[in-house]
Amino acid sequence: MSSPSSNAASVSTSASTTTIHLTVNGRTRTLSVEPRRTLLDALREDLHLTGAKPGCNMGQCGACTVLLDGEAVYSCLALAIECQHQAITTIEGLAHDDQLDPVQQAFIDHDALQCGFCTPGQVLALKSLLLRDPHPDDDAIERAMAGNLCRCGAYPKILAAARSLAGRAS
Amino acid sequence: MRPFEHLTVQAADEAIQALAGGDGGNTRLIAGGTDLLPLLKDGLVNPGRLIDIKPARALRHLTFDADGSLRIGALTTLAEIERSSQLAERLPLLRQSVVDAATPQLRAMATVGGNLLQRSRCWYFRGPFDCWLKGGTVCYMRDGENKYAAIFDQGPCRSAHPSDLAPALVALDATVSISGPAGSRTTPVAEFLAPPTNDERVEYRLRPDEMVTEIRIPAEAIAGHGVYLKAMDRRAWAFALVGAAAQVTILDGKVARARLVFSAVANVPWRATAAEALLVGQTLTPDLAAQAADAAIAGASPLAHNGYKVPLARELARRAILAAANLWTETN
Amino acid sequence: MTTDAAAIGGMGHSVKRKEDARFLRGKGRYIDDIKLPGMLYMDIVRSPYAHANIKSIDASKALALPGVLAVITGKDLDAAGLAWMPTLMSDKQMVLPVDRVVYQAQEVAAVVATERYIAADGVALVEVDYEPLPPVIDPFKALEPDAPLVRPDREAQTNHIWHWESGDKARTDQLFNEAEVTVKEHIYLPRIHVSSIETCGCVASFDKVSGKLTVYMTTQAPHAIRTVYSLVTGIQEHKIRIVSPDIGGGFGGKVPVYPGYVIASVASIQTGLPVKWIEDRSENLQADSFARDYHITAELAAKNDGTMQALRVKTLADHGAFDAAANPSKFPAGLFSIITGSYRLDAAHVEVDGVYTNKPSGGVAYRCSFRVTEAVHTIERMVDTLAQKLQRDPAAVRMQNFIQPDAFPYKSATGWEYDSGNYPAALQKAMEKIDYAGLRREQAEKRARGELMGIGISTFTEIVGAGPSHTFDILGIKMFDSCEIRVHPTGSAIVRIGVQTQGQGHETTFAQIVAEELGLPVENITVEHGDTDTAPYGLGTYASRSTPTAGAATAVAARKIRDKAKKLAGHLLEVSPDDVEWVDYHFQVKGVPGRSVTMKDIAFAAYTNFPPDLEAGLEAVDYYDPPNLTFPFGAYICVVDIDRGTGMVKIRRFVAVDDCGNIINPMIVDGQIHGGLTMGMAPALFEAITYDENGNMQQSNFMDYLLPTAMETPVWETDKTTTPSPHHPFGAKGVGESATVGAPPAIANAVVDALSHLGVTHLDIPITPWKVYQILQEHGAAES
Repeated sequence: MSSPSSNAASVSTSASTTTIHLTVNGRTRTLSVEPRRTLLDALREDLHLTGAKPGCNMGQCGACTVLLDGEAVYSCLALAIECQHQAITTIEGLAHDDQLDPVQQAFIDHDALQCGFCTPGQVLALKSLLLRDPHPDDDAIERAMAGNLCRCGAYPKILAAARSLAGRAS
Repeated sequence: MRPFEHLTVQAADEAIQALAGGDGGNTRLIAGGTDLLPLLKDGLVNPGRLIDIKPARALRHLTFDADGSLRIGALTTLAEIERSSQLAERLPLLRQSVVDAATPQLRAMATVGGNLLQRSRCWYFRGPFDCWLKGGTVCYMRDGENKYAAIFDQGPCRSAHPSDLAPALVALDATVSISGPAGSRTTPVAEFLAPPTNDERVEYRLRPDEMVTEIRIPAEAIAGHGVYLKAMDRRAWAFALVGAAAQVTILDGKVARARLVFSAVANVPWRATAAEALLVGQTLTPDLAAQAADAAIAGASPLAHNGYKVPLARELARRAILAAANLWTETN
Repeated sequence: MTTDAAAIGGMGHSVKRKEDARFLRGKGRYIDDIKLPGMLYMDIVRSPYAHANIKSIDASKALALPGVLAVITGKDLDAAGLAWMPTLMSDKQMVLPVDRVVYQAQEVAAVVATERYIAADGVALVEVDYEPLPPVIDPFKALEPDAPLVRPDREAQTNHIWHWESGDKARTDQLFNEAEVTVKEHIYLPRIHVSSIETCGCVASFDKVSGKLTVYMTTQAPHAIRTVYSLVTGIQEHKIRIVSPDIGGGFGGKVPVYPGYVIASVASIQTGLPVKWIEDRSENLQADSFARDYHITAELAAKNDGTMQALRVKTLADHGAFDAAANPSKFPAGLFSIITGSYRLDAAHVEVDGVYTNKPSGGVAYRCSFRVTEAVHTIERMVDTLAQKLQRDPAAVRMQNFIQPDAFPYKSATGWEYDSGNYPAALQKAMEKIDYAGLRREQAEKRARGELMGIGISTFTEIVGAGPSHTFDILGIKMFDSCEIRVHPTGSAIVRIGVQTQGQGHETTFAQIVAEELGLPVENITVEHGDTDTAPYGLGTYASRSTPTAGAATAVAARKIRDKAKKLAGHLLEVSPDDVEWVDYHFQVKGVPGRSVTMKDIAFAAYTNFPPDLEAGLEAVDYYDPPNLTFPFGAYICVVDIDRGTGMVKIRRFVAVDDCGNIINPMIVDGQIHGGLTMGMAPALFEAITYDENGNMQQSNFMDYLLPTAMETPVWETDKTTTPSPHHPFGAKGVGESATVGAPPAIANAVVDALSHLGVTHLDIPITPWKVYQILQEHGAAES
């Protein structure tokens, strides 16, 4: 058993920032953060990846959704320092070169966005579902999208985009 | 959110050692963080040190043992419970209790251990009020805005327990394993979750140098069948107005074992033992379910604005009992 | 020569949105995405009390925190004459208080720091000594003689703000005195909050060298803000630039000037560095302007045969601590007098009294034009109440009382001139689509079995497109709107408009207007807006006014270009311009289809080959003063099932037939209606802001203030009729808010209908499960 207090590399104090390594969209990025810095702030403020949005900072709106190892999570409720061993995917990492991810394309095809603010989170929530279950039924789709608020009310078209990707008529 | 030191551990014993610093509760473990981060951001807890226990993979498992009992590691996420095909088949109550909890993103982060340790959603507790639960002298909910308050009076605080999973665990006679500097102890979830008292103004009984490591559900509870029904102000992503977990074992046409446990009606999950007693040994009929549901709400003392919870609890209890015995479905 | 209309992408085409590409890649540029060199962060100290004297503010501990550069208080602003600012409604409001706070979460001081987290740490270190005062929360109690005074700064030492009325009181009273049947209901439309997912904020950047203040701001009306900024601060208007970048939802909540904008601007001027201020969600919910909060008593007089005759309405409007409503200045109660709706009435009289309370200021929209939702909810509920009393079908009573299609333009009992409409056709279409007769049969069968099912109708009339300059202004600025078009030599164009998009898709639809008018492909037209340094002056986007006003300006500006293009076409075709005609997106010699030129050819000629009597270039500007408002309408039918065990209301079907005149982009209109319906359902079933007796707001986060998710949103079955506006250049009317206005009464009427056999005549929204359950309990109708 290793003694945690002797494991200097894993300790950081409030007096100083800590160097951390985050793997974001396939690239390892090194940054210096306070332990209290959320993943959302690290992505937006330190790495200038502003696709994830701050809508509530309390895990109550979904706009900050990113993928951790393919799993959709609220980046406002994760500490950046605790995400060093997972693959982080943001909306900026979803398209390959000029080729949009099928989820992004389906959002365009189905007019599934209006003001666009919640859209990166919606796309990643759906992406996470499809990674686990390529052919979800309607109930699974609705439940998967229940954690992302859209105040413009684009829900019917978001669900239509999801159904089209699931191989279902919309 | 105040600054804090941050420490990462790889195993439970490392965490126990780190907690043993004796800093009077200034150190907190962080797992999923879905309740702790909001508490930190609202300044409701201000630890000087956080210990990340997520890397302790040994605490993340769902294991059916040879004797038919189930062990769930404290770091198992709600999403893992939701997605377990074994649980869907053998323990639908447990799975049901998490699918209507929170959102996919929160369930992917939130852990079973953290779920048991989540704090009250009482508006006074979460807001800028010096309420009794936070160390003040008055529970403002009693005479204030108490639409979401408990309907059973358990002491100085009138907040309602928010967990959907916890009542299911109580209905399954689950025990919780706790590790501390002096070793391990096991206690029923029904006792681990306890109303806050003057000395311990918190909804669970865990010393600052202890941690939850595992939940165990005995085989005899798993042998039955159960459901969790939840009434909410919207269809998803809301805390329960009332939730009802029922787990019933029927042998030879009679109820052999019955558990009925509510969420959101008391400081902690509320087990309706009188209702259970009415059911055991009887043939389950709609009339009997209605009688049990009546018994389940006996003794409720609603406040000015939460009277609706009493009949709601009664109706959910009636439906849950029937549904546990496959005598009621959502489409009825 | 024919042109492929789809390639042009003009009117009526479901062109994919130009905005989507950047939003889907996370490349939208919203306020909080803007980062300027050296930028500081501001966070705000807020009052825990609804009403208190400020005895002292001690910022020393905050200032001692490394990274904290300044703490700004009301006394600092007072010295600069900026402690108060004017509202749009001839009132004033505090930017920062000097000695008193008047609502919970009011701004008290601001901390400016080098880092966002440090600014927040600094806020926690500012020590404010308050002396709590008794607050007044209930607007009825606010009018009692011994009520605490919310605004002792005013000359009138009362909480009553103003009285407003419309219509013919004497005639209305007379009709009520003689009426065969009357109905009366008390209707409360609670406070609600638009809660755009993006909160409000700004980045203020003062350049000390040039003396220019640039403010990137979450605003729906950048030009008006620039003018107000100039008037309040004394900074010359050309030295102020307001930029409204991508906006994460507006819905009315981003019309007001919030104190944070002003304080951040002051902080930037003081420090000489850019200052960012972004609200958190609690601040947004607790302190930003609210909608509704109307306590309405409505009466309807009719004949026994169901003919409606008169409407009488008295209203108490809770405006909070400042009258900072976002209405045209001459309309303290907005366009509430549209309350006669789609119906012929001999007379109507409407009164509203505005009242101060110790709550944040209210009176902004919630995705609806000025107080129209309140009006529509009232009349649509009252028609149902009348039908119920007469034991008539609510659809039949509506059909009987509709303003008939041949009666337009129609002068309403409160003086509005409705431009066009065909109400019976819309309702008929909705009834057929949903099989109304079949639903009524099903309801009768279910009721016999004890099951609860309800059918609700709403046949609303909207009033949008403010507005004609003779009546509509904001602080004296007339409510015209504008467009500037420049066609480039190679046949592409840039269009700049005075309105601003927050999700409505203006970059696409305004390009389509120009594409239609000029025959240039929509993909070659760029639309810019939101930057006061480049966009022509306009009053902004709210109240569904963009298409009726700036949309009209765009068509007119394009037509000015086409007029000039016609001369160039004549020049190129070597005929008199009088012999040239515009056919199928190009000019041709009259009657000679083979001799034609395209707009692209003409654009090139405008810079390379123009006749000596013509100026070079191809551009135009139009400031459009609408001759009248437009009156979109619709017929909605909602079917609900109620769980007798839990009181849960489920919307089983919802048919929405909308008429917004001619449509630019059907796909976008469909999305606007979906969104409007969802934001109409929200206050009908979920949302309300409430306060405890001390003025503590109870819904300060999204777990207490529940917005609809994908789970609650039903399948909206949309359809349309098309009745063009006769006075709009391309017959459009505006659509963004129709559904928000029309949906709540359809849902409320459906729930009341489901419970009507129990004697229920009215339910206030939001209709929550436990509200329904209590009624079922009272009537012994709950499942057991």
